[in-house]
Amino acid sequence: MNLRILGILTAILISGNFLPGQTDSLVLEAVEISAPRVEFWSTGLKTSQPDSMSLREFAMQGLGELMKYNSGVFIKDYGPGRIASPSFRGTGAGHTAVLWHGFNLQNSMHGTADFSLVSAGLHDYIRIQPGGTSAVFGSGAMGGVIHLGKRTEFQEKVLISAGAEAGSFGRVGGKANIQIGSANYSGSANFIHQNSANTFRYLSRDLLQTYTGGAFQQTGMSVDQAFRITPRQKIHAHLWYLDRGSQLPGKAFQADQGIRAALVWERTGNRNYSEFRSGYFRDRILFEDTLSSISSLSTSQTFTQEAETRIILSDRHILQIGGNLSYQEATSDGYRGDTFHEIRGAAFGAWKYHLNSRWESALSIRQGLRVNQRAPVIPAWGIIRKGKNLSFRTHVSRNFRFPTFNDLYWSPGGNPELRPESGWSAESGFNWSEKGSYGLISSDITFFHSRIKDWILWVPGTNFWYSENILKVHSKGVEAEFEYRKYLGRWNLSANLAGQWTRSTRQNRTGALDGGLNRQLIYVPVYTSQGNIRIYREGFSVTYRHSFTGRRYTATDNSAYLPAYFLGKIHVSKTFYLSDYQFDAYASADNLWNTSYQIVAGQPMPLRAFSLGFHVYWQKPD
Amino acid sequence: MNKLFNSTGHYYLLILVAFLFACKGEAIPPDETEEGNVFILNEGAFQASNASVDRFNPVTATLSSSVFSTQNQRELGDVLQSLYIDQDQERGYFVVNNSQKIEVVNMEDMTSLATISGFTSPRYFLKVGENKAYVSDLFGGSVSIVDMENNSVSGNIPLAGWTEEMIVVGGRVFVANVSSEYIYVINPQTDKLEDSVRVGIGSSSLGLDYKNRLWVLCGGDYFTDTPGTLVSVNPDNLTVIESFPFESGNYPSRMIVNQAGTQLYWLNNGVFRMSVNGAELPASPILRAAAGSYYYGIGIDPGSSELYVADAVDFSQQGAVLRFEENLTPIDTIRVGVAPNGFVFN
Repeated sequence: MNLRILGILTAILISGNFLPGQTDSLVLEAVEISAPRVEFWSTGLKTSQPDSMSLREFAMQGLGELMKYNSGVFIKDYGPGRIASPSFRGTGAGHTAVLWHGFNLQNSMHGTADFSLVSAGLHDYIRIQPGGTSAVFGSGAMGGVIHLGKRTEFQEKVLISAGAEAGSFGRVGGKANIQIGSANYSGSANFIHQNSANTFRYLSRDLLQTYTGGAFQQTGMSVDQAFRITPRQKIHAHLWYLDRGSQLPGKAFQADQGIRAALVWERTGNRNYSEFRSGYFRDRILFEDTLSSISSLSTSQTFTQEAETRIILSDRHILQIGGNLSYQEATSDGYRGDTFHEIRGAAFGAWKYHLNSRWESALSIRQGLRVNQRAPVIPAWGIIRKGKNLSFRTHVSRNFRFPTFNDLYWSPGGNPELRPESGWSAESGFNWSEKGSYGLISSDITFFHSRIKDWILWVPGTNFWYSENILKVHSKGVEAEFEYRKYLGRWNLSANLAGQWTRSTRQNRTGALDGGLNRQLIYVPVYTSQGNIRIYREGFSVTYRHSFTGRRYTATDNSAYLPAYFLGKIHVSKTFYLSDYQFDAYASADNLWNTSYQIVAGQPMPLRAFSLGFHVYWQKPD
Repeated sequence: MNKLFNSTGHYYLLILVAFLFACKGEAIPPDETEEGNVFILNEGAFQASNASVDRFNPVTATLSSSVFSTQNQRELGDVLQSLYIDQDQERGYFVVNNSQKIEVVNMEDMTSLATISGFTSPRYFLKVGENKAYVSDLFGGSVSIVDMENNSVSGNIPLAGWTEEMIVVGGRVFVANVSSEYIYVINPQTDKLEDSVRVGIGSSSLGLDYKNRLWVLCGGDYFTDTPGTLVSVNPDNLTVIESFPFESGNYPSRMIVNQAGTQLYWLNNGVFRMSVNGAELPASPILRAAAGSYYYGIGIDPGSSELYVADAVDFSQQGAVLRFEENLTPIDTIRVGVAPNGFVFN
């Protein structure tokens, strides 16, 4: 009986993770009911995960850089050392939940997670899941979810590594890492630091200019510990610290600091799995402008507890119930120095029905609560039908987002009466994959449609701007991906091509003279495309990446836009071995074709940039 | 009769007809009229560098968009605050606030003549003497002195706070200051600060009426809950004649005076009008902004007395200009650049 359940559970794990482009080292542990929520309850959705070679390539850079080439998510990037925010399927920066060990990193004040502060190299896995998943992840998971974290592997290991990187425009960085493991313990410590004069070159009116006054330095550190207390129970703790200071145009300065801490207890039984997690997050943002004599400090703290349990009712049914309780507090000069706090809670449940190896469906439901405001009841339902080569999936969900502290309490203009944003989204997709002598080919196509109402916007009022639940948005589109892999004797080839068409439009007028009705939202490109090709063998790889970003409108009535652009990137890496040491040397060229472009109006972006680096690994021999 | 239709007659007929058509086709294109243009100043969105200036012909109701960029093949800059026209030289001075510069143009065809830099955050330009001008500033803490002959900053007059509009009355320059409770008086012969008049916090706009009284609109201070005041000052002896305090929660802006100097207009969640001989502030606006509209500027055509209202809508899309007869009958609505904030009639 146990073996049969084990087999089914393994099949369930695989079913949630069928997209090509996967990690090259997905570890299948003995019991899979403990799979993270993003996999376990993703029936009907598509998840992609950049592989470990890609993570290493972008280790010193922010999450946004990795996603520009590895996903169809539009990254609204203000430039090196400055904020980068995501837009999944035509939604806003506040509609993407970034989950670190299951905790949503969206800041309680402004509701977004700055991707430039998330160093790709501090995490073992990054999973990207487009689609509305508020039923599973709560407030803010409306356009998509990004899941980050460290894996825990209980195996004998001692691995120490260090590296350094230097790049154009005065950029220098270093990285160090130590991992120790045994049968019952796994621990690691990571450190990344970057310092850049950021004197990049850009074109303005066909004249070559140098960006000045934009120097920055950034540090990221993490410590991760995991203990297997009994064969069934494990506890893991994670601590992540980040710090960045950036000079900004116009003699301004911004310092961002953050602490994220998570403690997770897991117990896996024969027919059940339980988890209890606790998280603490603290953020501090200081903005200063000597020109206008502004100095604005904002600090926030969030304390979250969450518990969930999954029960195998029979060989076909799995049930989950759970709850979440959070306390969040924020103080800001934007609130005239006041502190605001609130308690949020949620109860959630889900049921997975595994008919056979072909059919599976999952139904989730969540009820969130915020102070004296009830969120709408949030259901979600997904189904997948797997065939030998062809799979079909569909997912329908209701989604929501609570207003942020800034929306509620900013002075002037905050509106404590704001309602949550909410909406419905639906998607369907096909995946076809086949392996033969010609290699592995897979293709995937997704159709999605979303409707969001009560979207919060800041609009000009009598004496100042104020926040209001004012907008209705329809977002629909198609995402297509192709992947090809071939093993050519000593060499491997892997290539993929993806394209997205997104129409995200306003559905109402904000006033009689508003020309924005049926117009594409600003900074949402209609057409985007990414392509990657890599040739590699043991010890050597060459990767070329290419992306196309279509026109983005900068005016709400689409009367002005930023032109479309292509970007190319090439990365070469070679490995040398010397007894127990592994030595990686790599070089890359960003913006290979020297494109002059802007992502955000008025903010220049660098022309071609080079970087060189090396990394040394020492692993204790078995 | 037959002669008309012989070959020579044909030629005469043709020539005659050609003349008729020739005369008909010679209408002067709107761009070349020397009078009666309305320049609409569009701030653009902050840091997006999309400020622009449009030219409107009120007779033909035609708009020429972005006349500066069209003529000079480059952007005007980031946040156009104001335009000053020096009639003697037919030159225009565009004060581009966040680009920290002033663009000097030939008003006839908008050709760029010079760019003056050396400002911190310039707001308004005013000619105060032969080849000399003052420029007020938001953050600079001083009023800059500009040499209009070689188009450069020749010095500055320290004046702490956010200096706004300026006016020359009786050979002296009056300067409004949003950060202070005073308006300041500068002697343009010596470039020295001479005096000040206490009017109330937030003075921004200045205007002269037909009785030579200087009107000052103070916008108040939102952050101390101090409402605005409308004050009339005697510019000769620097005394306050009348003071009209607004009720709590009112922070008015953009006061202008009509050509005859008999009426004041300003914005305060709508357009208000008051006679310069009025005994009290008007209770209700003459025009109220509809939901989703944001009135950001007003202007009055000195010839026709038509009222122009600038609607910034949401500061992202094209703004709108609403035109009214003097009796407030709506004439038309024109879409212009982003965030129109004012009008200059030339």
